Amino acid sequence: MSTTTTSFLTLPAPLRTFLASFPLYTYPAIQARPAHSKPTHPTIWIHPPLSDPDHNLLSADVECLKWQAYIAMRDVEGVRVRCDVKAEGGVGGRLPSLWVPVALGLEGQKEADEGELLPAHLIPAWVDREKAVEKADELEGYKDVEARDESRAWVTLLEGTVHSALITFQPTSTTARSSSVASILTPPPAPLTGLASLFPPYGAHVPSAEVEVKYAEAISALSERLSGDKWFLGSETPTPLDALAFAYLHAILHSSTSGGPLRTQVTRRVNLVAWERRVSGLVRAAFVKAGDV
Amino acid sequence: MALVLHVWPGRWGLISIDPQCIAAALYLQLTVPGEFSIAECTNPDISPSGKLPFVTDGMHSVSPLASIIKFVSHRRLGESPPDGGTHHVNDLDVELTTHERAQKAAWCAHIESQVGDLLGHAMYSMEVNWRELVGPTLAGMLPVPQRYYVPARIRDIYKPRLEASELWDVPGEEVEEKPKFGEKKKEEAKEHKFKQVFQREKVVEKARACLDIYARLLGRKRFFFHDRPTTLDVVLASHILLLINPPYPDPLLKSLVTDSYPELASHARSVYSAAFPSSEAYPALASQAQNSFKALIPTFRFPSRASVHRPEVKTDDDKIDVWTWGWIAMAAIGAVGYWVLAGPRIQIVLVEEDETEGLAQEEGEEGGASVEEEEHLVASLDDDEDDE
Repeated sequence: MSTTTTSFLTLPAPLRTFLASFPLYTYPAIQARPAHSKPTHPTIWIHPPLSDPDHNLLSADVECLKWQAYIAMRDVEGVRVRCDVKAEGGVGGRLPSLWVPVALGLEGQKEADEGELLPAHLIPAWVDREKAVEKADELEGYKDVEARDESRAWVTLLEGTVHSALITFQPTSTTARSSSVASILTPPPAPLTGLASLFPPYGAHVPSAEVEVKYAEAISALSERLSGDKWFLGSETPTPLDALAFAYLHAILHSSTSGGPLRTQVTRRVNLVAWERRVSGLVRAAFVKAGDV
Repeated sequence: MALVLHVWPGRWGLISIDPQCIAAALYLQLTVPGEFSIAECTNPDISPSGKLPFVTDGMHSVSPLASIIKFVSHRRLGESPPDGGTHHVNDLDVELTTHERAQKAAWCAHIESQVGDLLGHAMYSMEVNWRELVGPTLAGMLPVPQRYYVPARIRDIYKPRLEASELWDVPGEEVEEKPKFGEKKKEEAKEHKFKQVFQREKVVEKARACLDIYARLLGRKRFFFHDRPTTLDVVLASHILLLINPPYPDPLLKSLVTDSYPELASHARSVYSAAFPSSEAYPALASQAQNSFKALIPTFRFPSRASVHRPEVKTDDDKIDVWTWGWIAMAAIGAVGYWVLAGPRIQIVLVEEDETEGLAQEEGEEGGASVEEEEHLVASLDDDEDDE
């Protein structure tokens, strides 16, 4: 049964003649590329690397690189890498995000054969499932409780002191663009216009010389603590602290601003450079570019 | 005394209301007692870093805390004695091994970040604590008109940091208000009450995770390293004292520390009493005149590298700086010398009115060639002078 509608209003002939000059064309629907629909391998979406994205699969962003290192250090291999997704396309508007062909099933609502896009904080749970880890290690891979407690301090040193130096002295880096100095520095900086002036508060008075001094002290401490060990804090296997340390050292050593004060402090410590080089090979080997066999 | 430490004024039985200021005072008292004075300051804008504390040594200013510690550690005290000159070692960490110094750096960063966030939550985030204790205390210290807007600004600068740590906008204890006559008592939704309790429990859980670490690290020892206080003891004590001393209306974290972590409270008081056994042991108070109206004008002070003490490792960079300044000086002298000796001469010729009229008539007759003649005249004058 067809329905037709008629209108008592008709288009005037001159207007119809004029509009006939602008015909309406309807184009066929664009089909989605099959290569990116439901990939069969786990694929991590990251910020692109600084250069040569076809061969360099390590992200220029510290947050993405940290999770890449974590996955590689847990001996997960064959993970695909996509660098063409903007941050807004990730879960929560942030990268990295991990596409897995089999849902994690945490909510209990997805079917087993449906894929799922995981946020960064669910990557450890996915890795535990891939490695068939039934019970979480209370020591998190560290040799004892003291080392685990000390790892908290080193994580804070890296995510606080080193991170604030990174966004202060490399403001154009990918990491700096997604971070705010006011939420990283402790104690928080005073406004640039001063606290007592009549002008409304504006900007942040970042004591860059102080940040540089604390950064130098942090790198010196990091080098001393690593010494000649294979992994930080004398662990036998890599830990989350190693993943985080590698992410920061790699970002500093391979930054676009060569010869800056940040890079100089790291290159003076031979053990850190050698450690980063060794771990870099381990991390690169765990990833494959999406679309490659 | 040449060395003056500028800090926020003290309250609640402490030398200052700011943890960084307390840590600086403790460090100086434990390393250079009697060699410095304290100046109570309520204008952080005069500090090189825009925040308190800062130290002045004559015309030299140093800020913030890490730079103050380095400056004091390397400062030479007193005149050279007859036996050839020795300088005091003003370093609290002098007995630490290199390994322990590395650990100390990490622990201090953790305290300033994690314990600092807990302290910021107690002082600035909890509404009842801010409204009834911290805000009025700050306002009472500040002169007019700063007391009406500076406390709110200080609170606002902690907001981004505490929001990132999920320690902002956590509800405080709800005090049941007696409804006014004729008003119905507002029934709070059960879900809202549950959410408030849950958020407070999250804060307590976060605090326990942090304080458990330091309780295990301290154990039964009096201080963290060896048998004397180090920078780590000073930094932790300055934060713990501000958690337990003030009379917070909502004592969520204060009760947690005093009830569940008495060893940390005892350690903090032990460090403070080691530096200041009594209030009479406080350093001399330096007078400082502050103009509240002058502070209304922003200083826009750009951080000077000379105002921050640098470690002594950078000898190569110092040489490069000397050569760079020398090259700039030579370039400037060369440019000025070139302009003086061989640069173009510009002369301003003053012509009287009669002459200008005559010139105008001539210009009218000769059709505008007088400008070129004047230039030729000026140029010829220059050539004559050059020949001479």
